[in-house]
Amino acid sequence: MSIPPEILYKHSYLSGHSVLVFCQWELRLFDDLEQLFDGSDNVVWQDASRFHDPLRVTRVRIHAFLLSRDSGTTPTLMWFRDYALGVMLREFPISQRADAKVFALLQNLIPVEEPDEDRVLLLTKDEVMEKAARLRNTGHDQEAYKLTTLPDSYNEEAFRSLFSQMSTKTVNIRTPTMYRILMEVADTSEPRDVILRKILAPQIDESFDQIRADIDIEKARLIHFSIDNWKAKKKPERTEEMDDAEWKSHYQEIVRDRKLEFSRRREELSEDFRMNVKSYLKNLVLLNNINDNGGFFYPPEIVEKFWDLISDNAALEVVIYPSSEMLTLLFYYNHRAFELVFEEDPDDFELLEFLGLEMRNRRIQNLDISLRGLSPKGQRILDDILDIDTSDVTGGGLIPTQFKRMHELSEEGLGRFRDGLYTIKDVMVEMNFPMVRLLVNEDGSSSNPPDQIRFNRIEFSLSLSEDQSIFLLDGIPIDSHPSDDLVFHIQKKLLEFSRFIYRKPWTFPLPDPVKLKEEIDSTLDESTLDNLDEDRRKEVACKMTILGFHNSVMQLSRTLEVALRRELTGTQELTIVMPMVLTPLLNMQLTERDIDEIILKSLEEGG
Amino acid sequence: MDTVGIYVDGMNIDLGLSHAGESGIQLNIGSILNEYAEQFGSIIDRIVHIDETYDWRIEGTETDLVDNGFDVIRDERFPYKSLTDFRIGCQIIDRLHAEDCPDMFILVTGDKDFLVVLEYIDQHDRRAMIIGESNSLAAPLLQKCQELEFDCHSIQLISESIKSSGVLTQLPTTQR
Repeated sequence: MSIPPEILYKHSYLSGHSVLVFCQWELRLFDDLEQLFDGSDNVVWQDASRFHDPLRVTRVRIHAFLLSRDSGTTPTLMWFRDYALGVMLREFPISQRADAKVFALLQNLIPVEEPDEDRVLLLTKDEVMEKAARLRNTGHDQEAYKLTTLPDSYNEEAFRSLFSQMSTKTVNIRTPTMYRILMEVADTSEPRDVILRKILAPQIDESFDQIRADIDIEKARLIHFSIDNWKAKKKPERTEEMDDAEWKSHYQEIVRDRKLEFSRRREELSEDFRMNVKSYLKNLVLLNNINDNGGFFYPPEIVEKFWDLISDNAALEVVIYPSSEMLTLLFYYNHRAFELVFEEDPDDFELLEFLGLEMRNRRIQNLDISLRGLSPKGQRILDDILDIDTSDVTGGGLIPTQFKRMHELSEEGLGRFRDGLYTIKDVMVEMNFPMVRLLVNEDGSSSNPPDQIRFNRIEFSLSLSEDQSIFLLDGIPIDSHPSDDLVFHIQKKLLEFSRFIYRKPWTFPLPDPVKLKEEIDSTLDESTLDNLDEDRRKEVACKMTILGFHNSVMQLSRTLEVALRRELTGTQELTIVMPMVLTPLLNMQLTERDIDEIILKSLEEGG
Repeated sequence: MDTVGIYVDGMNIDLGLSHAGESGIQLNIGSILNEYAEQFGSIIDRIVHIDETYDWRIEGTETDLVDNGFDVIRDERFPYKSLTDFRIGCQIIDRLHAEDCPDMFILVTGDKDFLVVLEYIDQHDRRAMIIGESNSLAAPLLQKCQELEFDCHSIQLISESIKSSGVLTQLPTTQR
């Protein structure tokens, strides 16, 4: 602490002690200081106001200087000592005016704002009146008047009103710290709130101990009561009187606290994220558009046009289950519904034909399209054309309509189908992709998808590093640096995930993308796509589709790596309900210590 | 003189106090609320809503409320669905449109569903206050109070403050 030369020093010899000197923040307090010398050996006076951080109230350093009788000579530092003291808090930054108000009421002082100095001073009533008198003498009558009315607002009644008030305190803690808290929830079955109170109550107690000596006995008792009441919240136990509904509402709190969920609204997702998710899903549909003859069920450009028409369905929802050390990442919604209005443009009808045929024939594996007419007439036409060429479909037993409709259209039937479609001007389209109802096996049989495969979510194991500062995602450390390991790991997961969606999982193409590109480039070097014979053209087009898919997987892997890293190295907002009078006591500790450290240390020590 | 209405979500406050072991407050809740509310004006409404099938956790709670001038209204209940929140909300809306609308509404609850009611009171230029059980005050309700500059108080801390000021010295000690 540096001492400006203009500060006045006082020195006094106390028996058995060296010279004690106090650094004062205002000359007039010098007189008050005199009154504190009652002859006892250990009287010390504390001044937090000149400290860099006014709320650092745990310690004060007293310097002892030998003053020369000759004026102008620099004092000689003889001795200094640190004291852990109860502190009279007298100055706060303006941004902490709410805390200042509480401490004012606790210490029977009055908060006076000095906006020019960006501070709030806590003054006694006499000090306020003196300040008001000085303002009046300098012609600031209005300000002086305001000051004189202030003491009326800071009285016993004001304290009692403050005392029973509740408020919220919001803190940001690192996601790994939140995870650690939820592990504790899982281990103890105590709600998160109970655990947090156990962690933070000792901090509040510590602050209270520091100021206790400076507040009157009854106020101290009330604060003590408030702390006890706050930390007394217990984990809910089912009692005989509780009916099911009442117990359920308590239990839901514990269940909800066992997982950590966060999501981003579509507007919060980056353009890259949305584009890459869309590209991946489009390329997966295009991959499933490849038929058994090395060609396509539908012209790829039509499928692309359809996919480009619909809005992206990117999403980001992360759910973390600390008890099972799992993280699930949802990155798209597989359902879209939208209206399509068709103009006279032939391209529009081509698109409508694709949708109608796909709804009927279901060629593209796991793509579920349904159309509905927007008018009763439109719906009737749709029903009629979807049933074309189904009346001759026979078989043992009843055949469901959708299976009848999968029967190929005859040439005449196709003509009538098109004619009917062209009379429908607008439709509601519902699309689900992927809609994996059944997995197709190599022997032609079908089976249900494994339970653990959920087709818009990827799962990872999630744990904490030894120092609990970062996450390990499937064993890969997640810190602020980009991780190629994580990109490749996500890529593997996406490919595995995609394999189940592919029309024939056992033939899922896994080429070397570099070699594949070379093959395509070398073929196109010889000739353009249009000049190749049909078979070669189809072959190259299929290879380009496969390459496009793998490129989209790589792009999406990078995007998901960025997203996961951002979420797992970010922070979570925690809102704590607590008595308003205790909030500044907690703030006293939080200005000195990191809340993550407080929480982790407490949990390590057993809460 | 300002007027005050007190509207109590009976089950919410009774269950909260019961879980917190605050039997002393449960047996004197009517007196405590009266004593506290009187500082804000003349109390013209004192209403408690509970489900028709609800049993107070401590015998004597309803007696105390009735003795202190509260109307205890038992609302029809449907299986798995209580309607008391809606009834209280609708009652407050009715009062907001009445000629003798209170200047201040004191809602005794911790349920976040009432944040909509607080907005409505604010839109009608009336003051409101929430009094709830410390441990079951919902954070969103508190945040709405902060946003609208309404006070939110703990019934336990009110009770202790009243005791401390020398009034109601016959309150039984709380049991934990």
